[in-house]
Amino acid sequence: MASAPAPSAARLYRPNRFVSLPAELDPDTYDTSPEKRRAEAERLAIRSQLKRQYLLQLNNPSPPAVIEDPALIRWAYAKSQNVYPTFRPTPKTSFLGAAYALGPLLFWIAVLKAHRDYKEKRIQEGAFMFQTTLILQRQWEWFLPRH
Amino acid sequence: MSMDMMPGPYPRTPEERAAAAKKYNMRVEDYQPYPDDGLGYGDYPMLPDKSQYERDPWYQWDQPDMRHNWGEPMHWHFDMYIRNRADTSPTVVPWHTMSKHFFIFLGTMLVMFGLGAIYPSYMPVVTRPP
Repeated sequence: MASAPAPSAARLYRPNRFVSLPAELDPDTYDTSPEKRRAEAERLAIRSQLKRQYLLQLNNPSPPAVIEDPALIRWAYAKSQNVYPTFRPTPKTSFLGAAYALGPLLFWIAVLKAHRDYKEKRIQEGAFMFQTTLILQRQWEWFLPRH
Repeated sequence: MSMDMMPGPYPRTPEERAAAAKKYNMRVEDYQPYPDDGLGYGDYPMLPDKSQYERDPWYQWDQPDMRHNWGEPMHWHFDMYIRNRADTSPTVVPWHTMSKHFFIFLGTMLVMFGLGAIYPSYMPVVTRPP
């Protein structure tokens, strides 16, 4: 009987933003091609050079006060000072700006205005005819009955 | 550190790409910048979204608590992926199975409680004659 081959375990797992694929299900783990080995060797060469630079500074008899990590400095710079120069208004960024900046503002304006209009309407209808002073009456406005 | 070692704008030509990969201590094949949407990433590399939990705990990292090596490019959301915070380690049960179980259970319980509030049920009682 000709049926489609069973879906792979990796596809059944469906990794997403919150969980990664386990290494056992990843076909890349079992890949032993020369290209992969060359890539690993190149990465290891870069790593060794960096480690050498780091250890030279660390084991220096008169070490610097702080061993700066260029990756950390670049990360901090990219997140703080490189955002404005590389920003550019596009339809997507304009929409996101409006949604995050104007959206909540307009939403809360509408909600508070509607609630105050409702309170005013109830007061005009005479929902609170207590034998109390005006000050107490204003304080009791907060406990108006629900719609 | 000079300004040419700092992050810059999105690389457009292959030469700029190679220079950016070298700047970030990455292979040219590994280097992949964020898409040029104007969101402010510049030429910062887009690394896989994996938390520091997933890194080998037995390897001799230069910074063992961060599981980070000196000079290695840091993820854009590095401060989220440290071991005190978000964890993307693979789970025993797939994510979609867990969400399905959770939301079906929660939905059923909420529906039943809602129905019970709208249509309360109690033993029939007779009022006492006045």
